[in-house]
Amino acid sequence: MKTFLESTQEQAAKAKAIIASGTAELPKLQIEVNETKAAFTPFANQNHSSAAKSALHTAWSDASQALEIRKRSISAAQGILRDCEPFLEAHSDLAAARIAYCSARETVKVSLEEMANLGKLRAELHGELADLNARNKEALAAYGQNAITARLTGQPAIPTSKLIATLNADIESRHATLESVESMLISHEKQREFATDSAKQSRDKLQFARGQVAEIEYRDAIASIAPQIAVYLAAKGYDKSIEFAPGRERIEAANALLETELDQLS
Amino acid sequence: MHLTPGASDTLAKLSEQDARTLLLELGALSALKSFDRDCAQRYAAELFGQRCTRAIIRARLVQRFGLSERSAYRLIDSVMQNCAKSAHVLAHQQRMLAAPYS
Repeated sequence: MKTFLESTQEQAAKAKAIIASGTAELPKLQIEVNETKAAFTPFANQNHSSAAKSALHTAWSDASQALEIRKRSISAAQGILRDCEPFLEAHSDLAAARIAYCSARETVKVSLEEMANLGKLRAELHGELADLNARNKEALAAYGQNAITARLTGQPAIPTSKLIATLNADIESRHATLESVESMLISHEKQREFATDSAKQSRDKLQFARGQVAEIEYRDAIASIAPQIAVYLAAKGYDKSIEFAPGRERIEAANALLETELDQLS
Repeated sequence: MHLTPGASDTLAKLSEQDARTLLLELGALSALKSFDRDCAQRYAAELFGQRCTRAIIRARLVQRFGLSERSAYRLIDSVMQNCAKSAHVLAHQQRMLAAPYS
């Protein structure tokens, strides 16, 4: 017995063939309609009916009908193909969605870890800056004291100490690094938001693909118990309590229920 | 004499000791200093990538390259600032790749 997927593949192939042959025939049929219409038009306004007029009208009607039938069959085949496609791609869609979801979740995780680490580095930098500022304040106080002493003792003004220049350079460097850390934090936050959105989209795709795969399994399962269902329905009639929902377990449960019911009926 | 990025990359393919020996034999002392700085920067970037704290990176740099605490911190600052620039470019590229038409 063919699986649901195999019969879906066959249906899709047939639908494709109908679309291809139908589309190829359409121009020819359209020409035929135009020609028969052109042949009939001179007779259209004649009041009297004749065998020739009737034959031309019939030819035009037949050509128009053939064109309409062909268009409808193409449209129906396109509908069938649309219904088949999600099932044909279900397994590969499921695998792709699973990979995309895992990848997005991993990016979110890494971004959060990076942000936590950058938060620690920011705290460290604030600590270093507090220490450098305190040392700078001390150095400036000492320089001020020395400058006052020099003035009072009539000595020439003393230059700014190298320590102050070094501390200032260090403070500037820490501030620049702090800005870098802040920009990295913003960048990772954006990355996290983007990855979270991607994860949500992938999860939706994953759920949809899982649903499609479950439906394939369900249809295969339902086909295997179709004879019992037929017997049951023939014996008892349709019962709303039997729910044909996707999932092999439910099918198996329904199968067991049917077996019990059939035993009781026999 | 400063090392060009290409020369620095070539030397990085050798072991650190071999590269130092080569530069010493060439008598390129300023290049040796430059190479040491490159090595220290690469090491700091590696530790930063491993999410080490600044204090740990500083301690390792002091221990391995004999830098002063101040020099080690300044080197870490430059590495972190460069990483921020690269991260910004990388994030922008990733967003463009993910949504090329937005």
